Amino acid sequence: MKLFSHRKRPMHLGKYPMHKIRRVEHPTTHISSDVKRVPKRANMFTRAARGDLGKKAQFERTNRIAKTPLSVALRNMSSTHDDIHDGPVAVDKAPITKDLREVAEHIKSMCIFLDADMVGICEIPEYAWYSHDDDGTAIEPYHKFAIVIVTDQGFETIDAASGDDWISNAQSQRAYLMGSTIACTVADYIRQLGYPARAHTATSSDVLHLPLTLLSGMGELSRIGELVLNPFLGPRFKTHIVTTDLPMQTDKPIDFGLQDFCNKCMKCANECPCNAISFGDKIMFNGYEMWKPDVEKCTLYRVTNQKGASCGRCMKMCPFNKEGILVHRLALWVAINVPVFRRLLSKMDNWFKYGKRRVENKWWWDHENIEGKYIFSKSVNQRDLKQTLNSQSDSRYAVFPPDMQPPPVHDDPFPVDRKEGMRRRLRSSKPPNNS
Amino acid sequence: MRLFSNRRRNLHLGKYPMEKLKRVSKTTTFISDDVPRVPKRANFFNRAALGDLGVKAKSERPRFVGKLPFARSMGRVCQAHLPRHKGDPSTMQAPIPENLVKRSEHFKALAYFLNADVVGICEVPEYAWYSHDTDGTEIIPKHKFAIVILIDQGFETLDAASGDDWISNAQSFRAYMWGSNIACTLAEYIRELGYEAQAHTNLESDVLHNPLVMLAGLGELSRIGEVALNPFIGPRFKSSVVTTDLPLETDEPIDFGLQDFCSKCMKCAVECPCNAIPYGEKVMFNGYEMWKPDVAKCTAYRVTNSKGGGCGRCLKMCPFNKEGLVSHRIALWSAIKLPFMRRFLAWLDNKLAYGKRNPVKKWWWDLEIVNRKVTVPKDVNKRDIKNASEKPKAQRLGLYPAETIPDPDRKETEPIDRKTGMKLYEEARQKNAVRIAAKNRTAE
Repeated sequence: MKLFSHRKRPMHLGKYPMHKIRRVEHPTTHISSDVKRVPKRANMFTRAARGDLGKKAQFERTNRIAKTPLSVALRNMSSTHDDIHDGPVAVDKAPITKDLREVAEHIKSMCIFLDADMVGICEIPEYAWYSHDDDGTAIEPYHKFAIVIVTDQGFETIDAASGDDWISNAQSQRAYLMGSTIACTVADYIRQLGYPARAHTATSSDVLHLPLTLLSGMGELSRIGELVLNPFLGPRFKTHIVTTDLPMQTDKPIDFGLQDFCNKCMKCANECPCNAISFGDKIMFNGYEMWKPDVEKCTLYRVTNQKGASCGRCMKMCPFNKEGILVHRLALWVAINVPVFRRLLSKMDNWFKYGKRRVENKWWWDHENIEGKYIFSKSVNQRDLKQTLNSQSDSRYAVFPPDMQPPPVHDDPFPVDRKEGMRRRLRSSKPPNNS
Repeated sequence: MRLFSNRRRNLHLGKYPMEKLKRVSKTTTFISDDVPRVPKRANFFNRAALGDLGVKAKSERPRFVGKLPFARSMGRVCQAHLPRHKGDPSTMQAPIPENLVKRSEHFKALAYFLNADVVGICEVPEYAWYSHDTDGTEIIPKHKFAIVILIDQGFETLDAASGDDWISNAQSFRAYMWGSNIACTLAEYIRELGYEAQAHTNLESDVLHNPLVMLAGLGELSRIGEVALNPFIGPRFKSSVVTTDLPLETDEPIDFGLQDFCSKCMKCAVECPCNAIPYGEKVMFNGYEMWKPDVAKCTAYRVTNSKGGGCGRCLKMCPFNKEGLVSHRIALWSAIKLPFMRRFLAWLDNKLAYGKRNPVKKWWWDLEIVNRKVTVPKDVNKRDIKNASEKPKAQRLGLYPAETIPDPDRKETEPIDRKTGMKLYEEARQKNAVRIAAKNRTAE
C-alpha cells in the first residue's frame, strides 16, 4: 500500500528512481581496449558438462542439472521459448518516429509494462559477443544495440533461504522464465516493426550479459566479481537481452560509489561457502580491472552442491539485498552520498542480523531427485551469519584467462590447470598500472 | 516505496489482505443446482469466428488479436506454452505433506512467488466444465480441485487508455501471458510430483473461469455481468486455472457487499460504448441470478472495433479500478463496511474525474496491422467520462441461454436470433420481478 500516487511518473522511468543515480561516461570498472572475445565452450557451466572440472561435476551437470521438481517445471517452461528467440523480420518498416529518445522510451515502457524491474539500453562493443558458438562456428557481431532487461529474483523467498538450499536454483529459473517471456515478446515486436531483433536468455545467448549490464547503466561490478550490482535490487537479479538494429538513444553507465563500498565490505567473501570470492584488491583480468572470483571453485560448488540445488549465497548476503522500505532507502542514500559511512553501514548490516534466514517464511519443499525418484532431502544447508572475518590470502585463488581456456571446439575434457591458474592469480594480483 | 516491512507476512497470504474479507459458505450470486453445461462452440468468440454474429465479425475475428503488433507478439509466446497445458504425471509420486492446509499454502506461495496477484482454491463443480470441446468431442470432468490465479492487468497503462483504444487487447494479453506462465509452471510442477494437473488459459481451457473465481473466494460477480470483481484490483484482471487431483484445502467465497454496491452504481452501464451492460435488475440466466449483459453486442463491438483493438472499458471505468493508495483503501473500507456510503462513493468517483485518461502514462504507439503491413490507424477511440446525471438510455438487450445455442459439433454458421434473444430477456426480467416480489412478500 502506497501513500503517494505514481500517476505523474512517466512509464519509461520504471519502478525505481534510476534517473536520480549519477551517470558517467565510462563504467566505474576500467575496461581496457584489448578484451579478448571468448567461445561458448569456455563458459564454466559448459566446461563442467564436458568434463573439464572432473567426473563428478560432469555427472552432476549433465544428469542432475534440475534435481528439484520446481526447477524441472520452470526449465520445461523456459524451453518452450527455444524457437521464439529469433524469427523473420517484417519486410516493410513500420511508420514509427525518427526521434531516438522516443523510441528508447517506448521500448523501455513496454518492458516495464511487461513487469521488467528495470531496463537500460547500450551499444554493443565487439568484445561482448561470444567468439564461437557451441558447435564451433564463428559468431559475427550482428546487431548494434542491446536492450538490457532486469528481473528481480524476489526478496521474500530469498529472505527465508540460505542461498544454497533447495530453492536456490528455482529462484534463478523463475527470473529466467520471466525474463525470457519479456525478451522474446519485445524481440518479436521489434521484428514486426521491420527491424531485426533477437532475444538472448539463459537458454541461448550470443552475448555476454555482464559488460552490457554495466554499459547500459544497470549497475556496477561488485566484489562478487562476475556479478553486477544495482543500487535498488542489489545483486538479486537476472538479466535478459534483446539485441537489435532498431536505432535508439542509449544510456550511460552509473556510479553510486560501489567500488569504494565493496573495498570496505567483505561480507560476500566471508560468507561464500566455497571461498571463491576474493578478499583482496582488484586485478586485471582479460582487460577488466575487477575483483576476480575463483570461477572453478564457484562452478564446482554450485554444480555438485549436495545439500541444496546450486548457490546464490553471495547475493543473499550482500548488504544491498534489501526489502526496499523507507529505512533501506535512507541507508542507501547515505551509502551513495556519504563515503565515510560506508564501512559503518557494512558493519551495521551484520549487527542488524541481515542475512539471517527468516525460517518462518519458508514455503518450499526440500525435494531432491535421487535416481529418478523424488525424496525429501536428508541434508539441507542451514547457514545464517558468520560473526568473525576469516580472510583468505590471494594465493588460494585461481584465475583462468583466455589463453588458458579451451579452444572453440573440443569435445573431450580440457581439464582446468589449477596450479597454473593459482600462479597466474599471484602474478596478476599486483595493482594494475592504469591511470 | 513502502514504509513498513512485509517480512512478517507469510508468502501464501499474498500481496493483498484477502484474509480480512468476510467469507461466506455460498457465493453472493445465487447459483441454482441445475446450471446446464455448455459446449465451447457456444463461446461467443467461437460463434463470431463461425459467422454467427454476421459477416463483418466473422472476417474481423481472425485478426482480433493479431491486428495489434504488440498483442500478436505476446500471443506467440502464449502459443509456445500450449504443449505444457496437459501431460502425464511422472510415474513416481513424490512424498508431500499429509496436511491439506500446508499443501494449499505451499501452492499458493508458489503462485505468489511466480508473481500471481491473488490466488484461491476451490472444488470444481460439474457445471464449471465445458460439455464439449471445439471439435464436438465430449469433455468428462476429470479433476476435483482448482487453483485459481488472478493476474492484474496493471493500473498504470489502463490509466492512460480509454479501454477500447489501440492498447486494449495487449493489456489482456499481458495478463494472459503471465497467467499462462504461472498456470503451466504450476501444472508442470504438480505433474512432476506425480499427480494429475492441467492448466487452463485463454488459449485452451476446459473449464469456465467465472464460477471458479467466485467459488475460490477471489471475487463477486458484478453488474458488468460476465466479470467477477475483486475488492483490491477491481475487475482489472484475467484468470488462469490449474485443475488437479491432488487433494487440497479449499477457500470459501467472499462477500464484500458488491451486490448492493453494483445495484447503486451504474458507471459501467453508462460508459459501455455499445450499451451492452444492463441498467436494470438481475435476471436468471442458465441457473445464475445475475446482471446479464448482451454478450452478442459486447463480442461484436470488441471484434469489429475499428478505432482500437478489443475493449475493456467496463473494467477501466469501474470505481473499484484504483491505484491502491491509502486513500483508496480507506474508501474501499467504507464501501465494504458502510452500506449507506455506497451510493455516495459511486457519485464521488465521477466527481473526482476517475476514469479520465491520464496522458502522462500513454507510452504505446497506435499501430495496426493491415494486409501484413504495420500502419498507423486512421482513428482512435478517445473517451473520457460521461456526465454522471445522464439518464439511462433506452436499452434493448438480448439473452442467449443454453437452449438457444448451437449444437456442440456444428461447423456451419448458426446466426444468433436477436428477436428471440430480446424476447427471452424481457421474459426473464418479468419472471425475476415476480420472483423478487414474492421473496419480498415472504420476507415481510
